[in-house]
Order: sequence, then C-alpha cells, then structure tokens
Amino acid sequence: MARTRPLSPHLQVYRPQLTSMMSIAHRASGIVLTTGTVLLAAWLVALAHSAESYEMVSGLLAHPLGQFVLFGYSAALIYHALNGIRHLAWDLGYGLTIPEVYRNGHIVLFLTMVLSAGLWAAVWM
Amino acid sequence: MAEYPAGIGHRRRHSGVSHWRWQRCSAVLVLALMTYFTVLLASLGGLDHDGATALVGHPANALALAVLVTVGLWHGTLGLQVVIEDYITIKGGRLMALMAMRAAMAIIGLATLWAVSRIAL
Repeated sequence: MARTRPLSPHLQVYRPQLTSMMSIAHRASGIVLTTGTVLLAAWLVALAHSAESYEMVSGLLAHPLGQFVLFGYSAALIYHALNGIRHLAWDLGYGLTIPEVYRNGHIVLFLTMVLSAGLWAAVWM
Repeated sequence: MAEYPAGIGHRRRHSGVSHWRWQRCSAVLVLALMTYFTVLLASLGGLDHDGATALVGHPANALALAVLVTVGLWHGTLGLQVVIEDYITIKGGRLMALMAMRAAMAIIGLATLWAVSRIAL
C-alpha cells in the first residue's frame, strides 16, 4: 500500500500560499517549456525543409492563436528563468529567510509581468 | 539493504547529488543562451525564409543553438524525471514513463540537430 501514495509533494494537504504556488508554477512552466521544444523543432525542421513549409509554419505562428501560444510560452520561459535564478540564489544560501522568500517571490512575479510585456512590446514595434 | 519505497535507491548507477548538480549546471548554460536568443529574436521581430536561414545558418548562432537545444533538452529531461518519480508510483509504469519521456526528448533533439546542421552546413 505504501507504494501507491505520492512521495512528494502532497498537494492536497496544504493551504495554498505564495511559496507553494510558485513552486508548482515552476514545475508547470518547466513541463510547458520542455514540451514546447516541439515547436522550436518544428520551426527549424520546416526551415531546413523548404521555403513553402517555412511559410506554412510562420503563418500558423503569426495567426492570433499562434501568437497567443508564443506569448504563453515566453511568459512561462521568463517566469521559469527568473524563478530559476531565485532557486540558484537559494542553493548558494541567499534569500532563505521567510520574509526574504516572500519578497523575492513578489519580485519574480512583478518582473515576469514587466519583462513579458516588454518583450512583446519590442516584438510588435 | 533496507526496503525503501519505490524511487528511493532507484537507479543506483547515478547519485542524487550528480542529478542535482547537472540540473544546476545546465540551468546556468540554458539561462545564458536563452537570454541571447530571446533578445536576438525579439529585436528582429518577424523573419522571412531568407532572414531565418541567414540567422540560423550563421556558424556562431548554429553552434549556440545546437548547444542550447542539447543542454536545454537535457535540463528538461532531468526536470521531467523528478516529476515522473514524484507522481508515478507504480514501479513498472514509472520506468515506462521515464523511458518514453527520454525517447521523446531524444527524437526532438535529433530532429532539431538535423535541421540546424542542414541549414548551417
């Protein structure tokens, strides 16, 4: 019976809080980013194949739905990168007290929004 | 040897410390290369076929992209391994999920490397 329970994390028993939500978001964005590598692979394979296949893939990505997917991917990338820096700082022993963990958590969320908006402002201008 | 629940003591060829260390090392490399390509792509906006071919075909970019995809997929493989080990508790199912995930990562990686080398060479 012991083998059927999850080893970690026990998502069901905790009250949602910033720390746990950001940890789960780190995992979720990591899964999205790894899975989304298929898009990069498709784009490159189309580019290597022919101008026609490249135009087709470019057309799909330029479609509003494609742009929405790219926006989601970039936001996941920026969040995972910033929260990854937070993790690396923790690994080096910095920012580990509870007030600091909340403060750097808020900084990561704020910068994710600012950099995502800035990135797409740069793309569309 | 004590009886551990599934997952602990699994895959004894590699230690947890080396998994942890490589995840961090790959993270730093992916962070640097991803920043470079994100800024590069954002500054260019839309790319037509010739522009994209010139960009990916540039030797330095092709090399950087090949390294990014290889190390990035490796980083993703290490991450997905932890997710699978945390949530798939049936022993056979876990092993199958791990192998399927690694096979998928290998296919994506090989397709990308084939494309990049075809464009650049």
